[in-house]
Amino acid sequence: MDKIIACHECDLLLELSEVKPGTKLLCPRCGYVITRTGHQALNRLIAFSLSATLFFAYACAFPFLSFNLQGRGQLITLLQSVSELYQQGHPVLSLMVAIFIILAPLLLLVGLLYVLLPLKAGRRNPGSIVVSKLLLAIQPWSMVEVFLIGVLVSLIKIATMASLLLGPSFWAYVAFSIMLTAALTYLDRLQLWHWLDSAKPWRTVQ
Amino acid sequence: MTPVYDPHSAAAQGLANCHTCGKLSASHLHHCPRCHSPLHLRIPHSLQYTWALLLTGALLYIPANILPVLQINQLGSSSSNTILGGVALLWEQGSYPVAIVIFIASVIIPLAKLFVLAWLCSSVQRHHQARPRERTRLYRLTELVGRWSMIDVFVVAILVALVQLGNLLAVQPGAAALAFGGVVIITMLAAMSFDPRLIWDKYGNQHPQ
Ligand SMILES: [Zn+2]
Repeated sequence: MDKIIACHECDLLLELSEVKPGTKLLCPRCGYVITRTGHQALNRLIAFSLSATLFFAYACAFPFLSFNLQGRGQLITLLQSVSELYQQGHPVLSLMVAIFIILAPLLLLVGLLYVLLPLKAGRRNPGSIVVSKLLLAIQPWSMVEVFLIGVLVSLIKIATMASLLLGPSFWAYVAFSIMLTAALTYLDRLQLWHWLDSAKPWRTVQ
Repeated sequence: MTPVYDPHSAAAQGLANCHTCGKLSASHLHHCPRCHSPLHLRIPHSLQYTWALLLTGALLYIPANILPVLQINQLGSSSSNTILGGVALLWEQGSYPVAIVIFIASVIIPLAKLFVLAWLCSSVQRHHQARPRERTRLYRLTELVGRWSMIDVFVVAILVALVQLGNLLAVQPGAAALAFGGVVIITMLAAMSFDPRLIWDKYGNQHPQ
């Protein structure tokens, strides 16, 4: 990592000595987490991102929620919740759900794997810098865990009128949420740029 | 009045911290040499943008709370709820923890965010010097909790997408759902456009070093 850096939130100039894996470095002046490097951070980031992607694929394939009322019932998958909203004439609501619970987390995962996998070989994929910038911009807009709480609240809200049932996809989405959160705890901004700095582009191999 | 950068800050040395990759570069460069993001000592027009977004968010907060967020049609009769009405209904049903969670996420957090960010902006404009550490922490908190306000929008989306049984039982979104989603997005943008480093800048009549 760079020797001289500045705190992101209070601009204090800091001299960084060697950052060992497993350190959490706080700004002495404002308490901002300057860098948090986990043990085996790259391996864990890749492992958690891969398993999150698998759980996400699983979550898209099966019923997410169903409900029953006097023998009549309905069932939706995760993707149907978006298309259903659109077809009923609520494009903005549909777009918000699509972005916050499907597109943002998915782009985050695909982008992470695209950037991180070649780093294992000390290489950098073309466009890694642009993708990394995109990743950091997307991160706050992924609302996977907020959505899960929303599902639970929906169950309770409608409980007096009908009973909602959680489908297998819901549990896959829970697992996906846990894996994604775990991956993101190992994603450190300074560390990521340090990895990119020390990796070489592929073409120098030839 | 020109800010006098704190002598311990990077800006006082003419160094700009890249907002995206955290690399320090001479501030006369326009783009970060590592990631090509635009470089600046402080986010340009940070306070103006934050104020504008806060004002928009505050205006949207009114319809978000007055208009119905959800309309439930059951066997010919229809009932609609505002956000607060939904909280009251959950409370009457005895779902106290859920009612409290929704009350905090949908009512307290957006309001607190608007007030805290407005106060931070005005404290910077009034060249307030006291307790910078606490003010930075407060800022960090508003950035952290903002997204949790989206719970109610997701509840509406889930119920509308799933519960459609015609006359028997059907759920429609109210106008407040979009207004409320707008409040959450706009206050998140307001928090992002506020530059907490302004809290640490000193102000005076001297020229910056
Ligand atoms: Zn700091």
